[in-house]
Amino acid sequence: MSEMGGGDNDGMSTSGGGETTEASTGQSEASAGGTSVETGFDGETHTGNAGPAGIEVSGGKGAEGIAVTSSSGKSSETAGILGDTAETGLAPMELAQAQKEVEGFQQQSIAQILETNGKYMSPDDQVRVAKGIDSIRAVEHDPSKGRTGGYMLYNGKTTAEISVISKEQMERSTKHEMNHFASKNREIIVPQPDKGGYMVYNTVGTRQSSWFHSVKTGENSEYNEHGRGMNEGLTTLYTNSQLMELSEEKGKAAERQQIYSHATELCGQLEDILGKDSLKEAYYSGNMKGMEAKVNELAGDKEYEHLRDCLDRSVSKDYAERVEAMKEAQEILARMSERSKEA
Amino acid sequence: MIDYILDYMEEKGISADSAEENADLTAGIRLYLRENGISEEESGDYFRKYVDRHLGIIDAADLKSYFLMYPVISRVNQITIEYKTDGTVPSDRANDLYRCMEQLYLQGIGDKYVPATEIKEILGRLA
Repeated sequence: MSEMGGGDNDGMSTSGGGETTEASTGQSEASAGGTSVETGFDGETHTGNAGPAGIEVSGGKGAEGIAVTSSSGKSSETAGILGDTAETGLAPMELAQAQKEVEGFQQQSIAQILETNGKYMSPDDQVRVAKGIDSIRAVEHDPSKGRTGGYMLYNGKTTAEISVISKEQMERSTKHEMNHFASKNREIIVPQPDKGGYMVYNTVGTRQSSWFHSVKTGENSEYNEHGRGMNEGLTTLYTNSQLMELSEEKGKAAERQQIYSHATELCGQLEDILGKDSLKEAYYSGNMKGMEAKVNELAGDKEYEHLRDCLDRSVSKDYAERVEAMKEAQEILARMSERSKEA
Repeated sequence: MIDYILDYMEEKGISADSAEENADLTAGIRLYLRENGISEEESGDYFRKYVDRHLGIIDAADLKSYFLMYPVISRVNQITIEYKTDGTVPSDRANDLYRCMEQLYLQGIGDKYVPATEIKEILGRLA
């Protein structure tokens, strides 16, 4: 078993707008080395290919409304309904400018995260985060991917891609991905020579995923994941809070335009009950046991797993599943809230 | 909890202008509560805090429009979540989204409380 260090391997987290997100099933595309990409919450897209890599996607929100008169026969009196579709075909200079802006957002985000949350990280992780991500790229937006940003760690290398949509969106997505980068990242490889491959155990924040990578075929299989809903909820909560520190306008816009607002709002309630420290120790330092014990103490035996499952389902695209998950999660959190007052 | 939200609006100087509008407002609030897993009869501290958090992100001037349009907002959110998950949106869903956004713009809140970027991506394909 070898620890590759770093981060979240294959998991790319994408953030979208609001509820940016990570969702899914985690699939990944694996390259020869078993990389996987999953998209996630907040927008999460899951491309499911072979494999596992979990990508968390945070959604971006934000662009302002652009008025367009459609050529498809939809004229509108209401300005701003159709979006700016000019995101495709960016000139090199535009991408170069976007790259500079994204790098600036990255530096600002890392400084802000370390100042506020560095105390929750191990000394090694503080150094890792301070050094910055290995690669961050502004990329032409591809609407077919359904995401506005992505984060991936594979073979100890961390990578983020930020779609060039608008300055506001790039700032939001960069901050979201930088929180994924700064959260606990761990990648463990367990060789399975008898099966012709190895297992990958990947942790990014509170999201844990695993999959088998076949060296022979290059494919990933046996993908398993949990904790994505909580991870996207916390990432969005922290991203919004950091944007609010910069300006109320940015923070509020981010809060209002989330896709997966339910997970974020549930995490906000969880934070009120357990306190900021418990959640940040889980997210930034990987102390999941501490949070789990506190939830079970207040909600009942094994209720942490139940709550985590509810949060995963709260980012589902299935409306009925989401509503049911919200009901179950609220019952657990309300019980915890009551018991925390008695304690 | 419906009364709790209506009382909050009243404190902000917002109220329905007619019985019909009141019924529409109540329907929007009822749907918001259902989607968030909150019983209409619930009134506990925990749930009030949850609702307060949400109300806090809505400008007072938009409260009426927000809840009147909540069924539309809900539909918009569902379409964008489907898009985020699959990366595609069938044309009938995109057309539905277009009509929803028309209603939101006519109501004066436009894309303020819905995922603006994703909406532009989806509707941009119609242009």
